[in-house]
Amino acid sequence: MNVIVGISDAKVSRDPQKILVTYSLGSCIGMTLYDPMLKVGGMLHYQLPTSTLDASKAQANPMMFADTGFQYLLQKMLAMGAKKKRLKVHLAGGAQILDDSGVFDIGRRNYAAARKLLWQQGMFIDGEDVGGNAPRNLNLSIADGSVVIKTTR
Amino acid sequence: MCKDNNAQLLVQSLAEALETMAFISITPLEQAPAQLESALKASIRFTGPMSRSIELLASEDFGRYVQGNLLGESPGESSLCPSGQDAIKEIINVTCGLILRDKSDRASYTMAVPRIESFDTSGWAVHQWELLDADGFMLAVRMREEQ
Amino acid sequence: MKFNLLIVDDSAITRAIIKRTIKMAELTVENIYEAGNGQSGLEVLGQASVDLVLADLNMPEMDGFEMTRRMLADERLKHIPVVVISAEPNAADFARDVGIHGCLSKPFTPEAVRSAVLQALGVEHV
Repeated sequence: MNVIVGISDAKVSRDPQKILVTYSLGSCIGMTLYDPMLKVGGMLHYQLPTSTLDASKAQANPMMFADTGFQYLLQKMLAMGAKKKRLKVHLAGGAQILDDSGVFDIGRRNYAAARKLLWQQGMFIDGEDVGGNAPRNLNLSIADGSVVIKTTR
Repeated sequence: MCKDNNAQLLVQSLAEALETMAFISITPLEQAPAQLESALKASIRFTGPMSRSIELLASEDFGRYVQGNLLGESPGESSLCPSGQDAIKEIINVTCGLILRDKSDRASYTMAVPRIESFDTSGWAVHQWELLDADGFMLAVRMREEQ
Repeated sequence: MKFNLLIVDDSAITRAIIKRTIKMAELTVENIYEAGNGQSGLEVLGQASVDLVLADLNMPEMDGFEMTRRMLADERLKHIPVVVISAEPNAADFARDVGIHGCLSKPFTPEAVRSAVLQALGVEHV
């Protein structure tokens, strides 16, 4: 059964029947965390690299930003008993889709933001499909932690 | 003109070095400042078919910021190099390598060891430099012929 | 098995980054030795048993090219795997020419350091 993770959204699950899914990752980043021992997984779909861009929006919806969203997801996972050292990390998205100015490459910044947060937490990226200019869908199977990233164009 | 290509390559290489290692993005600086605050100058020389010096101006605060990012720490948390000079030296070193790596005759180039010194800001010739914004810090870079 | 590693790089920051990555990788490491140039690197190798050398090339005093050549010419040291981690544009060519274990270009990611180290030590990636 699919559980949809929307834009600026995060979900966690320990139900092996479930597959977490997010669609249309453009310049956004989809991040999955999975603890293979507990079979607990989570997914975040954020839009912007840092909450310092808009503190009031970050307050209203922390999942919109890399830093506040990642913190939210990680805390949820740890609260479910997951151990940071065991977490497998996958990233998808960060495509270079031009914004109105055509200069400010938000996809690259979003990807750099994820890498910075993971490095600060001492976590490696175990798999990724990022950059380019096509949108992507991302799936995480709670049963076995398998990740599927599909380019949709 | 040759100079423009080099300037572009320099900025791209610096961007890649900062982004990959320190998670910092750079953009062109819209408005040039009238005067430069006190700055460090990091430089590295390469010699070969084309011999140049690469120079980077940055504040000590930027050095500490880069160092914090490189090590995954908050700025000021680290006791490794309080001035952040080592971080800036490493960034210019990596930038220089990136500039030379794509050259087909890369084997005939030699890189020197990067140097750092304080920069005399009086009479700063701003037009000779590429000005960049790096996460809110101002950077200036240029590549110039060996003297 | 516990490993002894030697990091040779003139940048204290780079040594710290590599060290942090190795700790993150949860290898069973006994000692991580550090040296700031090729000469000090050889001195460590003369005193301690080392399973892997991670070496920069562009360094003051004795550079990594010279250090690696001396290691390869020394019966006691030539079996030790070396991974070059360098911004030198010729790093990959040099590594291939002298037949050393691996080469990682700067700027590197932590993931690239992890896989180069695991590969050189012959450790399975968990």
